[in-house]
Amino acid sequence: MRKRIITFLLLVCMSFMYSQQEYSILKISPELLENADAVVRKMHTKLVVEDIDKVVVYTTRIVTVFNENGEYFIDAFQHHDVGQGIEKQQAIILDAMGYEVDKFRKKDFSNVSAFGSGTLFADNRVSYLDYNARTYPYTVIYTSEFENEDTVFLNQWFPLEGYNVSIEESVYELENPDGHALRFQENNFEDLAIENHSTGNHYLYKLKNIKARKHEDFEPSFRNTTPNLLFSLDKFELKGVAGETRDWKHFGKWMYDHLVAEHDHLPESTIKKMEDLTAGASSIEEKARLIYQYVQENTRYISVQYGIGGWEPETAMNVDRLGYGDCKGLTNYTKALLKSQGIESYYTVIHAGESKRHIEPDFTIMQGNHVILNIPAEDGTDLWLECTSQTTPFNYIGEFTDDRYALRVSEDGGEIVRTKKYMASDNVQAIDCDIQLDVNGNFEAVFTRTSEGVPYGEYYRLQRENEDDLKKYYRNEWGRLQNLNFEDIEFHDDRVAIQFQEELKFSGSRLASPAGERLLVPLNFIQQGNIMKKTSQERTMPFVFERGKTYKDHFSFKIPPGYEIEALPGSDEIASEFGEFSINISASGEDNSIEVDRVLIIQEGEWPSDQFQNFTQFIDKVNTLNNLKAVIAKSKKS
Amino acid sequence: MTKYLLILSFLILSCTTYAQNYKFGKVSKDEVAQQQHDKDPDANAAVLYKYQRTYYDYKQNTGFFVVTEYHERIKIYNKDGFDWATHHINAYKGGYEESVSGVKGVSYNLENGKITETKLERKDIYENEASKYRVVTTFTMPAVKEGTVIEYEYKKISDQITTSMDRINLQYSIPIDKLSVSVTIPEYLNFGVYNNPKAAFYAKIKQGTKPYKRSFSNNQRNSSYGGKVVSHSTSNSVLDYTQNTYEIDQEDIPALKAESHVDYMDNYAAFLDWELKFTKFPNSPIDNYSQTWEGVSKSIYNDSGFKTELRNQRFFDDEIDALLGTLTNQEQKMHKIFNFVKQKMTWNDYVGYVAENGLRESYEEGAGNTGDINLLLVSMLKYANIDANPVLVSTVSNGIPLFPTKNGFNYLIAAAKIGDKMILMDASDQLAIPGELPKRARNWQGRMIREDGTSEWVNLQPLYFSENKTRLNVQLEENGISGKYFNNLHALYARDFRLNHGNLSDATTNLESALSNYSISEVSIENFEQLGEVIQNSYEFTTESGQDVIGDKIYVKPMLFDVTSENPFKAETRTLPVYFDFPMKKHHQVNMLIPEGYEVESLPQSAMVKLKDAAGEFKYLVKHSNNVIRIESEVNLAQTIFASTDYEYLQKFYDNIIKKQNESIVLKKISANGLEERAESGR
Repeated sequence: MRKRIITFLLLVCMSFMYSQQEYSILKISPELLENADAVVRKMHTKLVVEDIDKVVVYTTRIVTVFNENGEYFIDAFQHHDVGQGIEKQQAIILDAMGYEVDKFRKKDFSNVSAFGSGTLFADNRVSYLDYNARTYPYTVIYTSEFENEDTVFLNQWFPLEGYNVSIEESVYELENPDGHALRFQENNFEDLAIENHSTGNHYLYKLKNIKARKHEDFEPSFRNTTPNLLFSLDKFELKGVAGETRDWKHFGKWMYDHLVAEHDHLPESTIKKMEDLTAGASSIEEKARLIYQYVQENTRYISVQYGIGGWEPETAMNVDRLGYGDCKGLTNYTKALLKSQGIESYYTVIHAGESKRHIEPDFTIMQGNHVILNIPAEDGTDLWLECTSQTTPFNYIGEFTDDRYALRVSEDGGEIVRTKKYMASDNVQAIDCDIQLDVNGNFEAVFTRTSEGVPYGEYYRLQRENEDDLKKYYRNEWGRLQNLNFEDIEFHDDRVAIQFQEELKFSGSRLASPAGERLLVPLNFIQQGNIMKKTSQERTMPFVFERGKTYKDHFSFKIPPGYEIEALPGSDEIASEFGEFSINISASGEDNSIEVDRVLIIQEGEWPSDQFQNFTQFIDKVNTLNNLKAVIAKSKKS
Repeated sequence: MTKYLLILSFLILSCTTYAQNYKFGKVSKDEVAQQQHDKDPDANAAVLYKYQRTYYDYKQNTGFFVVTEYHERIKIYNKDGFDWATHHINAYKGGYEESVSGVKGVSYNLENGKITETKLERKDIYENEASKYRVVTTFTMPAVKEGTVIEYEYKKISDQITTSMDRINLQYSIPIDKLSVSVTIPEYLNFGVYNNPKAAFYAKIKQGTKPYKRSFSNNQRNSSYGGKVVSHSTSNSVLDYTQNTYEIDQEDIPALKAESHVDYMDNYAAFLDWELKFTKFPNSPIDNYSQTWEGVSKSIYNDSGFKTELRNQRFFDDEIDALLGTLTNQEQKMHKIFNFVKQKMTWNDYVGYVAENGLRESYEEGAGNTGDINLLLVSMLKYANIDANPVLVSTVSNGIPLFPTKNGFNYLIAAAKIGDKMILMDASDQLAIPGELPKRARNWQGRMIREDGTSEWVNLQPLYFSENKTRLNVQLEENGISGKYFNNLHALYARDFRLNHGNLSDATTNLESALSNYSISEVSIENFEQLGEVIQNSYEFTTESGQDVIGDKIYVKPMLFDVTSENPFKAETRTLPVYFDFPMKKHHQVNMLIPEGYEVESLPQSAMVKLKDAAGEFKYLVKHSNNVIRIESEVNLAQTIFASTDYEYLQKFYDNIIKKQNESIVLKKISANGLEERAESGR
C-alpha cells in the first residue's frame, strides 16, 4: 500500500514537471513584464440583467503579482450591505510556475466596514482577500458571484487599470436576455484596439496585451483619459426604490423626490432664529452669507453613511438637533435654512478633488462623491457653498470643486451645471518684502504676502495654527533660510474679498554667503512657484496644468552701512506659451539698496508630449534666473 | 514656623471651597464662557476634569469582576479641537469579556448668556464589531461648536481579575486641568504601581485601605423525581475583607507636545503601570507573581514552548543538510542558514516572542510572526552545531518596561556565538544581514535565554560607525559645471538606502531625478541587491546654474548640490531627548579644477568643531595647489542619544556645519594687467 502511494506521488510529480501550467509566469509575453509590478492575466466581468432589481455579476480576475506594489492590483473583494450576502467568492493562489499553493473559500475572506474608523457609522461592508505573500511572483485567481439589487450601479469597464500594470486580457460582457431598455457610452476608445463582439442584447468587449507604463510628471488624469465603458439601465432600483435614468432631467427629478424632498423641515425656533439673524439684510447674497456663517458656527462635519444606500441626506431636523452631518446632511440643512428665508438653493452632486473630474454631461448615470449647494443668479454669477467646512469663506470652493460639470437637482428635475472657474489672473500670490542685511550676511525682513483664488485655500489655514507650529511651518517652508527668528506673525483674512495676507517680521543668519571679502546676495529672497524639473526620461504622455497661477514679488534689499554694490546681474524676461517670467533688478537710493521685481505666470493648458522639451527649457531658464545673485563688498570710497 | 504652616493650609482650604463642581451635570457658566486655556493658550481643547474609578466587586455565581467608571469633561476651544467630541470605547471579547454600559453625555453651550444642554441620545451611539476580539462603541457629541463643553460618563465591566491591570493614562496631547483616579483592590491581590520615569511629571499616589463587606443569601431548591419543588432552604454568607486604595489627585497636567528626532512619542506621556506581586486568598498559600528578569525569562522559556519547539528538528533536517553540504566554517554556515530562513519565511507583520503558529506549521506555511521566524532560525543554527539562543526584545513602541514582566517583551531575535563574537539576527527583516537589526528591534536591551533556562542581558544598539562617503570631481567653467559623483554607503546607511528606494530600478530613477537644476547621466548603483556589501553610487552631472559668474569673478559653493543647507533642529527649545538612529560618519571630498584663465581670489578657511565628550566632530579642510582645490568635510556623531539640555549645543553644531559648507570659493579672471588688479584687491 505504502509503495503504491509513493509511486503515485512520483507519477504526479513527473507529470507536473512536464506540463507547464496555464498561469505560469513563463507564459507572459516578455514585453508585458517591463515596468510591471503586476500583470492582469484575465479580467472578465459579466453582468446578466435578470430584472430591473436584479443584475448578477460574475467576476473572474487573475492577477500575477511581482512585488509588494503589485498587490494593489489583486483587487479580490466584493462590496455588500449589512444583511446582504455574496453568492460565491473564492481565491486560489498559484506559485510562479502556476501550481496551486493555497485556496481561500468564502468564509476565509475578511469582512470589514467599507469605511475607515473615521466614519461614525456605515452599512456598507467589504469582503476581501487578506493574503500574506511568501514569495514573489505569485498569481491570484479570484472568482465571485454577486446579486446586485441596487441596479442604479452597474459595474463599469476600465480595462487599463493604472500605472505599472500590464493587461493580458480584459473582457466585459453584459447579457440582457429580456431586452430591458438600457444605454451605454464608450469613452476614450479611439487610440486602442478594443474589440467589440456585441450582437443584439449581448454586449461583449475585449482588450488584449497592453504594456505597463510609468507615471510621467504633469500627465493628465488617468481616469479621464483612458478607455471606459458605461452602462445604465433606463429603469433601476436603489434599496427597493424604483427610478428612471433616461436623461438628467428625469434622473434628477427622481433624486429630488426620493432623496431630498421633505428633508427640509426645521424646528420653529430655528426658523425664528434665521428671521432674526437676517432681519437687517436686504439682498439675497447678504442673507445667504449670514446663514452660511450660522451653519459654519453651529455644525461640523462627521461622516455617517446611512439612509438609502448612503445617498440620502440626514433630515434638516436631525442635523439641527445634532449639530453635525456629512456633506449631504449639511448641504441639505443649509438649503433648508435658506429656504426658510425665501432663498432658493439647489442640492448639487459633484466629483470633488484637486484633479478636475466631471459628472458625465451626456450620459445619465449615478455618479459623484460629494454634494455642494448652488444659489443661482440670473447673470450667471451663481453662488457656490461648500457646507462641510467650518472655515472657508462664503462662495469659495477652491480647487476642491472648481470648474467642472455637476448635477443640480430640484423639483423640476436634474440639470448639468458648471462650477466656478479660477483663472491664472485670479490665482495670485504677491510678496512685498524689505530685507535689511548686515555685514555678516544676516538679515531682518519685513514681509507681506497676499494670496487670492486657489492659493487662498492653501494659505488661509495658517491663521488657525498656533505660534509654535507656525514657526515650525515657516522654518520648514523656507528651509534654506538659516536660524529664523520671528518677531511678529500676523494674518489678515478678508473673507469678503477672499484675500489672505501674511505679515511677518523675522530675522535669520547668512542670507548672503561670504566669499572672501565679499558677500553674495541671492536676489530671490523667497522663491515662489518653483517647478522642480525631474528626470529627462523619454516623454510619451501629454502634460497638463489644470489651473494657471500668477506670482508677483517685490524685494528690496538694504545693504549694510559701509558696503557698496559691486556687481548686479542684468534684468531679463522670458515668454512662452507655457508662461512668462520677468525679473527687473536695479540699484536705488544712494546705491544702498537693490530693488528686485519678479513676475512668474504659469498658464493653464494641455500640451502634446513633443512640447515637453520646450517646456523644460522654459523651466530651466526660469530656474537659472531664480538663482541670480548680486555681489556687495566693503565700500572703497571711505 | 508651625503657625505659618497653619495659615498656609487654611488659605489653601479656603481656595478649594471656591473651586469648580466636578459632579456630572454641574458645568459652570465660567467653563462654557472660557475663550482659551489660561495656561496653554494654544490648546485646541482641554480636559477640564478626568475621573476614573476602578474597583472589584463580587457576584455569587460568577465571583470577582472589575468595574471601571469613566467621567470626562472636555472644553473645546476651536474647530481643531472638534475631534475631542468623538469618543471610541474598546471592549474585548473572547478570552475575557468586557461590557460597556451606562453611556451618558451632555453638551453645554452658552446662548444669550444662558447655558443650554443637549443630550447625547441612545440612537446616536453606535456599536461596531471591529474584529473577532473587539467591539467598539462610538459616539460623537451633539451641538458642538467653538466653546462647547462636553461631558460623558460610562462604565466598563471586565471579568478578568487577577493577571494584570491596564495602564492608566495620565497625560494627553491637550492639557488636563484636574485628574482624579481611584483604584480599589481587594487585599487578596497585591499590586505594585509605577509612574513612567520618562514622563515630565510623576503623579503622587495616596495609598490607604477601606473595608468591603457584603452578605449573600443562598436559595437552595431540592426537587423530587417528578420535578416538583419539595423544599426550600436559605443560607446566609458574608464576604468581608480589606481593600487597598490608590488615589491620585493632580492638577494642571500640561499637554504632551511632539518633537522631531524622538524614538516614540507615547513613551514620554505620564502613565501608571501595575505589577501584580502576589495573591493571597483565604485558606490558600501565597502565590508569588513578583519577578526578576531572570525569572521572567525562565518562565517565558518554559511556558512559551521554546524548549519543545527547539527540540523538534526533524521537519527541516533534510533541507538544512542539503543546504550546508560539507561546509564546516561556522560563519559561512550561519550566513547560509540566515539567508535560507529569510528567503523561505515571510513575516506576517505580527510581533511577538511566542511562536504563534508553531515552528513546523509556519515552516510549511512559509509565514509566521517574529517568534515563529526567529525561533526557527535559532533551531536551525543549533542543528548546524552553532551556539545559538533566542533573545527577548521590547520593540520601540513597547517601550522600556518599568518592572520585570512578561509584557515587557514583545519580540524575539536570534543570537549566535562564533568564537568570542556574539552576532544578533532578525530574519523577519528582508534587508538585514547577520549583525544588523531593524529599527523596531533597536530598543533598550535584549535578554538572551540559554538552553538551561538561564539568561543574560545583551546590547542591541549598534556600536560601530556607519559611513557615508562622497567624492565630487568638479570641472568648473564660466558657462557651467560638470563632474562626477561617487558615493559609498556602508552598513546602516546602505540599509536605509535600500529601504528608502525599494528596488534598484526605483533607486536609479530617484537618483536621476533627485537634483532639479542638474542633468544626471551614467547613473550606476553597485551592490544594491548584495546585502552587507557597500553600496557604490556614481553618476555624471552637468549644470548651467551651479555657479555664479558676476563681473570678472566666479563664485561657487564647493560641495555644490550636496551641501547641508537646512538645520535639522529648527525649534528654539527642546523638552525631550534627541535620538539618532545610529553612530555615523559623513565624509565629503571635493576636487575642483580651476578653469583656464582664472586664479583663486579667496577660499573658505579650514575649521574644526567638536561636541563635548567626543560625542561628535566636524572637520573642514581646504587645500589649494596649482590648479586644484581640494575640500574635505567630515561630520561624525558617535553618540546617538542626547539629553534635552544638550539641545542647544547640538543645534549650534549643525549651524556651524551649515555656515562652513555654505561659504563660497571666489575665482577671478587673470587680467592682462594683473599687477594693478592685485594691488587694488590687496588693500
